[in-house]
This record gives sequence, structure tokens and C-alpha cells, in this order.
Amino acid sequence: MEILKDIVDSKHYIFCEGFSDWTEAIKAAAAPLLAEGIIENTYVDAIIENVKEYGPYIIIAPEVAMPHSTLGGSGVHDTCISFMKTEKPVVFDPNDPTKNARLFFTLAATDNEKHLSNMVALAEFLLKEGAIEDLLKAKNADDLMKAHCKYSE
Amino acid sequence: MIKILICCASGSGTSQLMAITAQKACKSAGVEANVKHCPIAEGKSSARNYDLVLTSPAFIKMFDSAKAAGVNVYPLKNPLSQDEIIAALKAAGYIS
Repeated sequence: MEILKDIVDSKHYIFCEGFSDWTEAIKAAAAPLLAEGIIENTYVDAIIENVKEYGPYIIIAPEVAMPHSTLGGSGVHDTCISFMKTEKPVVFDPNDPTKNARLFFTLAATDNEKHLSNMVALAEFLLKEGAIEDLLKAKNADDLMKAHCKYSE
Repeated sequence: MIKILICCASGSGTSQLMAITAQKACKSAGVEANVKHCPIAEGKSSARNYDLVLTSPAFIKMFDSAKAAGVNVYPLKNPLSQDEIIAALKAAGYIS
């Protein structure tokens, strides 16, 4: 399970206080990938449009969002994941608090095989008892590495 | 062997995650299953060729015609929840 280690090694992480608007949160969560040219603004816009059209289907568990759009979609140049943690929950649906999120795993994918192994690793990690709780307490990259070490045994 | 189709908007994120969860859940429940995932646009037309369709609550209405044709269609709220998959397998009568 190398997901968190890869995120820390590649510096694809960001810690924020919070956002009053979920579209701003998605832009911030994608910023580490955008800064390196791994994705373009068109991809971030596509994610936001999808959520506007279909609702917050990117919330994969309470507190956990996985912003993504189509595999091999336009404006994506590599296969990677970036991580964002916010202190205050980002609200996607004011009527449904189970759609609030503080952890964001933004996906970019061009290579199906690598994307699949990333997803399996992410699922394996998030399914570990206590893993989500530990990430919710994380303040910096050191905490991410601690969580990586704790759950990769 | 039951054929399961899992759909989400993009066919690569949420449905991929649901497919991983479904494979785990079927394995633990002793159900032999062939799990495929794809975007809604594709799944809408191919749904009739499957025994069981799982998708986010937001997309459930898109499968009304498949449901009318006898396909079991169930929503999954939490893509990481094996319990929800097990509940769908029970509701569809594949496990007791």
C-alpha cells in the first residue's frame, strides 16, 4: 500500500482550513496536479460540471470525496492521485450532511492498469479500521507518512 | 455465475471502486460473480444483458427500463460498503 507514500513523495498534497463553496474545494484539491501540468483546467471544470449535473456522487464514504472525471478525458496527461484535507467540512448538499467531506482524493488517469492499481490501493487503505479517522486528524505530511506506516503492515 | 454491472457517471472512478467492493463482497459471501463497470451512457443500453445492476442513487432512474425487463437494479450509497452489496445480493435472492 503505497498510496500515501506516493502522495507525500510527489508532494501532491495540500492542507486547508475550509471552503464555503464546494467548487472552490475541488479546485484547491486539484491544484497540486494542475501546478505540475498533470491536469488542465478543462479537467477540473469537467469534474465540477459532472457534480452539478449528477449530484455529489464523488463522495465515496462519509467525509471522503474522490473528485474525478472520465478516464482518458481531455486535459489529463498522467495517472496520479492528489490529497487534500480541510479542517472544516466542505458541504456538497446543504440538506444531506452525509455528503460533507474533509478528505479529498483527486484522481487523474490516462493509464488504465495504473489507475486500477491506484484505486485498489486506495480502497484497501480506506477500508482499514481507523484509517479515515487518522487522516481526519492529520495536520501535515509527517502525519500522512505515519498513517502510511501504520496501515501498510 | 451471476453477471453484475456497475455504473457511474465516468465509469472509471466511483464504479471502479464499487466493482472492487463488489468483488470482495461476492468472494466473502461465496457468490461466483462476473463484475463489470462502465459509464452510465454505456450501461443504460447494455443493462439488460446482466442479472444485477448496481449504481449511485442519483442514476437509479436511468435503469427503469432494464428493471421493467426483469433486471435487478439496486442503489449503492457508499461505494466502499460491502454490507450494501451483500444487502443487494440478498434482496435479489442470490444469497439467503
